Amino acid sequence: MENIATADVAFQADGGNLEELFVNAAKATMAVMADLKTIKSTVEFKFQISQEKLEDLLFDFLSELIFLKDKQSVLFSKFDIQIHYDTAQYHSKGYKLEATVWGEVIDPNRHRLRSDVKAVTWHLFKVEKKNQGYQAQVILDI
Amino acid sequence: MSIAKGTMESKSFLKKISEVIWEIPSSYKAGMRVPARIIATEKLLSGMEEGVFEQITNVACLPGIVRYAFCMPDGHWGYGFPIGGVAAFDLEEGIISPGGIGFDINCGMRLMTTNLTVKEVLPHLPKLVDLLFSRVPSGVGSRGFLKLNRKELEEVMVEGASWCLKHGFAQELDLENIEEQGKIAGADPLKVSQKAKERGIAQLGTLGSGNHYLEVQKVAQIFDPSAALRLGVNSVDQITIMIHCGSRGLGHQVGTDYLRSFEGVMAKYEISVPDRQLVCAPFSSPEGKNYYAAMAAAANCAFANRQIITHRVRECFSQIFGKKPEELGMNLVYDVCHNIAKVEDHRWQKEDGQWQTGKLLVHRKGATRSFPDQPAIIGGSMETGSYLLMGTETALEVTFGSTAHGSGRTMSRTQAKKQIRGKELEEKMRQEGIYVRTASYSGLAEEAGVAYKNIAEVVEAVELAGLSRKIASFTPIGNIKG
Repeated sequence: MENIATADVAFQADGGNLEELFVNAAKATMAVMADLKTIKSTVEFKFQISQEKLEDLLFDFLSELIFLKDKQSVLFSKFDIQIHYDTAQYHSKGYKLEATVWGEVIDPNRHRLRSDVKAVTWHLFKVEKKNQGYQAQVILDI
Repeated sequence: MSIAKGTMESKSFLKKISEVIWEIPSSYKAGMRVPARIIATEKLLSGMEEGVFEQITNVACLPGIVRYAFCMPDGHWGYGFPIGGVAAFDLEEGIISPGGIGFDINCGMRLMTTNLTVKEVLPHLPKLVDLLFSRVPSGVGSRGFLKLNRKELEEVMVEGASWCLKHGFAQELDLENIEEQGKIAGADPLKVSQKAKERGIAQLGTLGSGNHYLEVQKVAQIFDPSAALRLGVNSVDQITIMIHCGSRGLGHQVGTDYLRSFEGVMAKYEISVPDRQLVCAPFSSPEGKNYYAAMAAAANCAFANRQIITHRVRECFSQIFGKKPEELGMNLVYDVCHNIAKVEDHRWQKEDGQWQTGKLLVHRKGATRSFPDQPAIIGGSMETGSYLLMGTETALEVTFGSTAHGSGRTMSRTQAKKQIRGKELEEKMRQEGIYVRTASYSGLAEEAGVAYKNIAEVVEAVELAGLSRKIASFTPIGNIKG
C-alpha cells in the first residue's frame, strides 16, 4: 500500500478464515524482507501466543516472527497456524495461537534480501471481519 | 491520518511567527496544552504532509509538556511523534513516550576525518568499499563479528563507548567527541527484556538496513574555515567517513516491549492520548523510570555499535593504505543521537513572561541536539550529501537546543520502488562517481535521492532559525548500505 506510510511499509492481508489471514500477514511481513521464493524450509520453529483480543494476537504473532528473525538470523516462508478461541471461565479467556514456521538461516548470497523490519506498529493497525472472511492492515517500521 | 501534502491554503491554521517559525495555537484542537511550532521555510512547510500537523498537535496534548511541541524542517509523518519532533517535559508532571524516541533508540550520526584526499583514495575506492562491505555487515539478519556473552552485553548496556575503549575498539580521544561521552547514565540491563538481549547480542558492529549507511565522502564546501579546522576538516576534497545507524534489534525490541506494556499503564495513571502510538507513562512513575533505564541501555549499545564500526573502518583504511589509523589522521569529529530522550538543564520563558530554569526530559525523535559549540551532523540522501554544523545559544532559546537530523522523505518506499530500479540506480551513481555496495537492490531504490527532500533547504531553514550554522558539507564517493 503506497499512500499511507512515507518512511515505512504498509500492507493489507486477507484470509477466508483467521488462520489464512495470519499466514498471509506473516508472508507479507516476510516479503518486505526478502523474496520468499528464495527461502527454503530447512529450519523449523514452534511457538504459542495467547491474547484476549484478535488485534493483540496478530500484533504479537508478527512481532514474534520479527524477534526470531533477529535472534536466529532466519527468514520464514512457510507457516502452519492453528487458532482457537477459549471461552472457559477458569482458564484465561481468549485466543490461543499455535504456530509452526519454516524457513532458512539468512544467506545474502542466495536470498534476495530487501529491507529489514524493526517492528510492527499500532498505526492504522486493523483486523476486521469482512463478508468473505477477514482483513488486516499493518504498518511495519523499516 | 494523511500523507497528502495539501497546499498552503489548506494549512491556513498556521500562524507565521517569523520567516521560519510557524505556530499552531493551542485552540486548534481540544486537549492541546501548549501550541505547536514548526521550524521550516514556507517551501518546506508547503511540502509537509498534513499528518505531520495532526501528529505534532497530538504531542502538544501530552501531560507535562513545556512551552511548545516542535517539528523540525525535515519533519515527516512517524509513529505518535512525527519524525523531526521535539518535546520537553517537566520531570515531575510530565511523561516519557517511546513514540517520542522511536524504535531505533539512539539512531545517530558519526563523522570521522582522515588526512587523505580524493585523488589518493579514488584509485583504491572499489577495493576499499568492497572491504568495508565485507567487514561491516549490513542488511536483514546480519550478524557482527564480535561474539559477546550475556555478561559482556550487559556491560555494553551500562558502559557504552567506554566498554569499547576497555576492549581495544576506541581511542581515548574518541569518547570526548561523542554525545554524553558515549554513555548515558542510568542504564539498567535488568529493565531490558530477555527477548531484546537475545535479539541484539549478535548484532554489535552491524549497520542494519533501510536508511542506514556507511559513507566514504569528500569535503565539498567549507563555510567556516576556522571552525572547520578546529574540528579537523581542513580542505575541500579531504576524505571523511560518515556512519548512520542505531541500536539494532536490541533497541527495536525495547521499543516494542515498552510500547506494549505502557498501554496497560496509562489507565492506572488516568492518562489518555489522542493516538495509540503516543502511549506513555509518567516519567516519575516506576514504569516511566524502567523505560528510561532500558532506553539508556539500548542507547549505550548504539554508541558501542557505532564505535565498533569505527574500529572496523580504521582497520580497513589501514589495510588498504598500509598505514596505521593514527598516521591516516582518522579522528572522530563527533557522534550525535537523533532518537533519544535526555534529562537536560534548560532555561525557558513561561507564558506569563517569567523565566524558569530547571531540568527537563527532552524527547528528540529524528532531531539532533544542537547545544552551543557542539557539532551537529545532518545527513542527506546517499546521492546528495550531508552537513556538519555547529550548535548555538539561539537553539537553546528557541527549540530546547535542537535542530534537524536529515532531509526527510518525499515519497513512500513503495512509490520509490515503483519509479526506480536498484541496479539502474547503482549504475547511475557509479557514473556520477559514487561507488555503492548494497545488501539489497530494492532497498537501494527506496533510498534514491529523489525520495528525499533537498538537504540544502533543510539546512538553510535551521540556519535561518539560528538553530545551527553550517561549517562544511560533504558528498559521498563510496556508500555501503543494507
